[in-house]
Amino acid sequence: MELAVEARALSKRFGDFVAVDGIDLEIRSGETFALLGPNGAGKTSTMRMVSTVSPPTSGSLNVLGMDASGYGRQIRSQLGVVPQEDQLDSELSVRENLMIHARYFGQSWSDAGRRAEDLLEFAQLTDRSKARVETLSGGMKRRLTIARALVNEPQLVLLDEPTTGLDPQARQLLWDRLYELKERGVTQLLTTHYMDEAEQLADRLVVMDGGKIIASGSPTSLIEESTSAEVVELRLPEGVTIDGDLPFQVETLRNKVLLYADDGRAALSHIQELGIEPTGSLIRRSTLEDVFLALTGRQLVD
Amino acid sequence: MSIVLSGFLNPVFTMLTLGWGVGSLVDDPAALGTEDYVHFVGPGVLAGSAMLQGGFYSLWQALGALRWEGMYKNAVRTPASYIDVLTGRLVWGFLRLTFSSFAFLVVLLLVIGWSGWAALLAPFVAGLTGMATASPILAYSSAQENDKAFPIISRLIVTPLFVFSGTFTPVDSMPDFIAGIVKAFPGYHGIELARDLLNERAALGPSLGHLAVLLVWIVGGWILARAGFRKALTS
Ligand SMILES: Nc1ncnc2c1ncn2[C@@H]1O[C@H](COP(=O)(O)OP(=O)(O)O)[C@@H](O)[C@H]1O
Ligand SMILES: [Mg+2]
Repeated sequence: MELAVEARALSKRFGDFVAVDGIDLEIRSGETFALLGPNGAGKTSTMRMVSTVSPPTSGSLNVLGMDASGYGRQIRSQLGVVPQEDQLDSELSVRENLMIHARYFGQSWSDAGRRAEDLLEFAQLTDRSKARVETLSGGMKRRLTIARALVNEPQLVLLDEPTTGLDPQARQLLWDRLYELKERGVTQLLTTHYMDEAEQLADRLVVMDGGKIIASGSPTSLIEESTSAEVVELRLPEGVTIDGDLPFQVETLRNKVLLYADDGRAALSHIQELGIEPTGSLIRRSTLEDVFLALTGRQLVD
Repeated sequence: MSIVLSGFLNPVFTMLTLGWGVGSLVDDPAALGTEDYVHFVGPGVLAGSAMLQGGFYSLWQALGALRWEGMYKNAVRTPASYIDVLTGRLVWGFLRLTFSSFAFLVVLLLVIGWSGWAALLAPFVAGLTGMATASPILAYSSAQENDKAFPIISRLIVTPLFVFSGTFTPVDSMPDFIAGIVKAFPGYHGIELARDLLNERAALGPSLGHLAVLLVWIVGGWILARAGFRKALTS
């Protein structure tokens, strides 16, 4: 199996602060791989090392079969990067942003122009081609940033929080675009702190916290291994708590109580038989959010 | 267009207000070594204002490009490296200044008359003078995370060098001690060379000497600025 990214004991320190603490990664060609973790987990630092922009403090890192420290230029020429901040040129038009970027990859103006048409089509921005970037909505800017990352027809695309800050509709549109990329066989490495994004897009993922990988696998295997099939979310009247010996795990959060049970309905009945009447209840499938909670005792997004 | 406008309107304005004002105070025109004061101050302002602009190009504008805007951060995600970005900034600055200096030259030649083909080299000298100032300041500013010290650099180094590098008055008429200091900086050499070129008196030896000083400052600054660019763009 060919690996697009292979990291061993990869670390990044800023002074005394350890941002990435000896992580191992194996990302296969063609798959979509996610780094899921809360703010400060070390996702961006990892992405910057993989994009060969930031040198690792220690450990080994191979990207597209080349050593990241010796072959940065060659690696970057085959990489597409969507940074956490768009970093578009707001004074240029949509099309000009693509053209200028293509020039960095040594493309001729005419090749760059042809490619720009295709990419604008892909990003559904054809009608905004001449608009100045500062007039675009957040979702459009994000799509333009993705289009820009594709000017060199990269084998590997890195996306750092591709949908953070976007409304649900803009997110869905963006996910569609990423799904199409995946269909085309482009390897994707993305970071997110949205568990639904990781579930939707990723074939495999690692959960990061405090610079370390605390779990890895496919979304379904992680959920199966770390948590129950279903979760009951309860809102309880003031002062009421659930304790005692119960046949399922109970997690008490600030504003709700979670019951981890394979049969949510049975768990809810069990609680009611104890004489507790929740003011609200919801039975749902468990998610990666629950995996993170189970592993760290904290929520991904507060 | 705005580059061309600010490129020659500023110097022209400076020359009119400051230059001729000071010129009327020069009591010994023979000390200038030129036909008249315009022949002295015109080339002085041409190269001197390029030096001034080069200084500013490496202060707030550079910090903005390195830290606040996305263009350079984006460039290092392509096959370009942080060193390419640094080199690109200096080359771009040189081209811009040379271009705007041509506009200034046209105005100057209208005032002083045609003075031979060598005059056409003066804008390039101005461009180099600008970058000989920009490059070492860039070595400093690229290593800064904020602009706290920039007003001091601007007022205590860049502007005084513009005024005292022989722009308006001959350096040799200053006290030896001050003249010695001024001659260590690139501005003086750029101004002298531009002045020689526009007064039909540029000799090969001294010209190459001035050019060498400019290049030493450019290359020296470039070498030192790499660390700042590396830190700002690839940490
Ligand atoms: N250039 C830097 N200098 C110092 N600390 C940094 C730098 N970049 C990131 N960090 C710190 O490293 C930690 C991880 O940051 P980051 O990789 O951006 O996490 P994430 O993307 O998961 O939010 C954070 O605590 C952040 O403050
Ligand atoms: Mg981040």
